[in-house]
Amino acid sequence: MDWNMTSRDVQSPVLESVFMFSGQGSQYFQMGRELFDKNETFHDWMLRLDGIVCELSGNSVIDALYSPAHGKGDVFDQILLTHPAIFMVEYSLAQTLMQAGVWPDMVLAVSLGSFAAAAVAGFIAVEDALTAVMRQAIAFEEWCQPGGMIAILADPALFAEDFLGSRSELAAVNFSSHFVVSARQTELTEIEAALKQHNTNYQRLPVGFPFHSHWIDEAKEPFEPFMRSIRRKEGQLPLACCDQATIVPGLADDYFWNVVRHPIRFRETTARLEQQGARRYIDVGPSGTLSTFLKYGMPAHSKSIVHPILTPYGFDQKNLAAVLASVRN
Amino acid sequence: MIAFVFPGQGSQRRGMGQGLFDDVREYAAVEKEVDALLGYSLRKLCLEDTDNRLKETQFTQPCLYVVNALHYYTAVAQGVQPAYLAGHSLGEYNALLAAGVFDFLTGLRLVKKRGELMSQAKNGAMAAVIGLGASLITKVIDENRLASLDVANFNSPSQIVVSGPTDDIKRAGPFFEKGGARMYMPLQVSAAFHSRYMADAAKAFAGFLAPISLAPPKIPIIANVTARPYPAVNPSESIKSLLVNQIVQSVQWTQSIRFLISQGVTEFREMGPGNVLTKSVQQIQKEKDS
Repeated sequence: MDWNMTSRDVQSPVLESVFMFSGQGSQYFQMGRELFDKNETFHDWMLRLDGIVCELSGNSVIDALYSPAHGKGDVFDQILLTHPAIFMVEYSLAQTLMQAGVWPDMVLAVSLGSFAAAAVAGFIAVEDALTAVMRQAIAFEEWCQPGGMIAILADPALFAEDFLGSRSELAAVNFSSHFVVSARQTELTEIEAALKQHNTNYQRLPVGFPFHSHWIDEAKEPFEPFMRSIRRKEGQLPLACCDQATIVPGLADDYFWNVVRHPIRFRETTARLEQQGARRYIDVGPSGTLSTFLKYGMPAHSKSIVHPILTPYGFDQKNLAAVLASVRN
Repeated sequence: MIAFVFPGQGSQRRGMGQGLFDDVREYAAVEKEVDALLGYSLRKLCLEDTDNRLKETQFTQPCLYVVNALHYYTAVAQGVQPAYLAGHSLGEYNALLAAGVFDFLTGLRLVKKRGELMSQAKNGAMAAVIGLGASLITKVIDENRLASLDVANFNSPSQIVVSGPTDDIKRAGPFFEKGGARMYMPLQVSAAFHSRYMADAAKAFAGFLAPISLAPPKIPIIANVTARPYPAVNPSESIKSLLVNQIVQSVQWTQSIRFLISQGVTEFREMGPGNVLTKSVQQIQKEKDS
């Protein structure tokens, strides 16, 4: 496997496909519902994965995720459900694409999405990945203080301002006018008030913990021994890791901790990939957020194609058909 | 041969009872009394749960008791007759109701009190140990100075719940995992139910039960505490004793289902929201066949 990807001929009609996997904050109730109801492959994989979660935790994710009592607008932030739910939707969507003939040449891993990305790339068995997801969720739930994350629609340089820098940690840099900060529960309202005063747009993410900050460090020790014992396999695909901002040759021992603890370097990672040449980026996350970040972040002359599939707006099947059509042409 | 099984805390969910509150004739007649007894609209709490209180045991117990009963009445109206009854923790009260031991409102009074007493217990927690057998769990407890933990529920061959002081439950996780458990899943409960730490609640409940007279069961009920049918001798006193003990002792669910299978039960119907018990029965049946 040649890990040093060389610049590709941008006139080549066949673009390499990159599946992008997003993390906590991109989830919502009923996500993937249209595909669950109408796509057999997606449906079957969701059930299979739900079965594993049931055996591990006694609870069904699907029961909660697709319950008629929960609408898209309701906040879906209980980590014991959202952690596996995000994994399940991403992995099932990846399988759906592959079954339809769209195969990834690379995976791009963002935070929690790194688990599904690693499984799809062949570095870890899906059952082991899902078990790791559950173990991590339990560690956060049991050991961490509540906190949150705020997406800020501004130049990441704003983080240097005291009202942010002294109260929060930089969780992600997504493109030139989008970054995310993490803070303890007590600080969130004040940060938002200051942002309002500063006339800056922001959005609170549906998460209950300040991921990507030192305030989740209490969960490391309970999670670590298990993480080191996960069976690793020989990977089949290159994995672009937004923690390392590069393509990694394998999963480091503390990979599954680092990806949720260190800042997300999405802008940096995708810039590097873009330097190598055009690609087809397919967002397999629940919200299509990564495809949005990429569209805004790509250089103007880029020949890359970017596809969202799942979004809260309900065009899942249409978007999926568009990807298939694009790949075949 | 059919057995009815009634779920307990954990099976509650917003939206439960949807359609049944109006369809079941028996409920229409008593809904006003139910709401008067509780001091709130039970239907509204089950269907909307706007304040997110359904998971608190003082609300879970009366709500689940009523919704389980609605499922039961629906089955009876369809002509289904069980040969045996069993309920998981709170669900045992539905089994007693179905057997005619007390009437609907008396049962509601009992579970309301049970819920209140249990909600007053503090500083305890519970966790499900997945994938480790009972003897290995005991080994982990003995070898790691975790003697403050009680084994609370035998839910299936691969799911056993431990119960004890909050800090001890929290720190026990790594030991069980090292001992081979696939998962150690803390449960969202407010106290160490089904353990020695509930002694005060049990004592208070015994006092509450004392003046209430109970009728002998018309259908055999398998008790959580013994995994055997309620005794026929001196039913009123023996039933009260078993219910009081149930608060401090483990729920022998796996053993109860195995007993029912040995008695010829071939079909288990879950009378309540969700399918937690159905899944546990499937696992118990699978293990038996292997």
